[in-house]
Amino acid sequence: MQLHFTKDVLPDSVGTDFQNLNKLNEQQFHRLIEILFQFLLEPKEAERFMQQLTEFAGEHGMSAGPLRNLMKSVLLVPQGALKKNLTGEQIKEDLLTLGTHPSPLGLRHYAALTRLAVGQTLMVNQLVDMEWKFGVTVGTSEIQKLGTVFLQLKLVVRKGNSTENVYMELTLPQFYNFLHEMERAKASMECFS
Amino acid sequence: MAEVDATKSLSGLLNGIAQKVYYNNSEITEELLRSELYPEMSPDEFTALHDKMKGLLKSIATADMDHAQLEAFLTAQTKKQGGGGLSAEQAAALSRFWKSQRVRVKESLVAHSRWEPSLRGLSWRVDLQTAASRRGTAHSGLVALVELELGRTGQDSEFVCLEFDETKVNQVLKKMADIQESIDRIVHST
Repeated sequence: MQLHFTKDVLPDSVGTDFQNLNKLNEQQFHRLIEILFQFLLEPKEAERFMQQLTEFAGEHGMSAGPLRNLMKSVLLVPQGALKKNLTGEQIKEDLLTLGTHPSPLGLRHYAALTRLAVGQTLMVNQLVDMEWKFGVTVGTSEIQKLGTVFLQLKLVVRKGNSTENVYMELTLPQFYNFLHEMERAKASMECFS
Repeated sequence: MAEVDATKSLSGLLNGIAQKVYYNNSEITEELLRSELYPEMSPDEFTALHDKMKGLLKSIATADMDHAQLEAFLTAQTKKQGGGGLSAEQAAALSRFWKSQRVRVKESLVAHSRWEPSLRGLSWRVDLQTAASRRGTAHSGLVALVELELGRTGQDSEFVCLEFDETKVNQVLKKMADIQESIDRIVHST
């Protein structure tokens, strides 16, 4: 199965979960998507997410347990879409590959909401702090003697109500490129302020 | 003629080993190398040759040998008695191989010692936000959106998008100036 949102091999249960989405009617599908995206935008509200799912299950005569598992699988797509910066088209393609056949309207709704979540999350990724570590790697298990420079950055990023740490290791050329681009961005801002 | 062929086969073998061990080429297998380069050799004989060459390459790579070290090492190997020794032709093939591949092998090993994602690319844009429908959107005015492309060796990229106001951009630039100072102190003091 060629998917855009992940390169991992998915367990069979995930495929089954996505196909079970087809058992929902239009209204149920839309309500479930709403619950899903509320959670995506505020990932710390796990309790509220579970509560809403349990309520939904009760209202529609379903068991809460299987529904929760279903939603865990469904979450994989927007989470992967966010990381890989997918377009609406690619998300739709993945849903079809996974065997979901909601109505065309439902499909568009889901893809649009995913893009919106990507867009919303774009808005709230603020850099809170940047920590760094710099030094020289003197040896590794594969090369006894080395003298390469390393620069490790930890970016503390606010996503919605929580923070996340993003780690990276830069070579010197990568660092200078980063610095150069930030200086250009600042110059651009100064043009307009 | 036979000597030229033997040298070619050995060069091929060394390249094949490098592809598998250092350059992440999963298509190369021992059996493939044997059938392509030494079809007349028995599997056992080939395994012995393969392992010997691989071991020698690893010693050379781990020590990142320069020309002098390599010559000394290879000379010592040719003087070994018994089955462990190296022929003059084999030593020559190893020498030629290392001269051409040293930099690439070292780069590959260094890249594999970086376990955090590296910054493969970045792009940015500056927006002037004039209004927002979401209540509580803290800022209006100039905002820089920076998209960082991060990825580990051999894996797909992931994208992280960050937004900075002018103050934040200045703070980041100040930190980067500190980093630059550190770099200058270490790198240029040697």
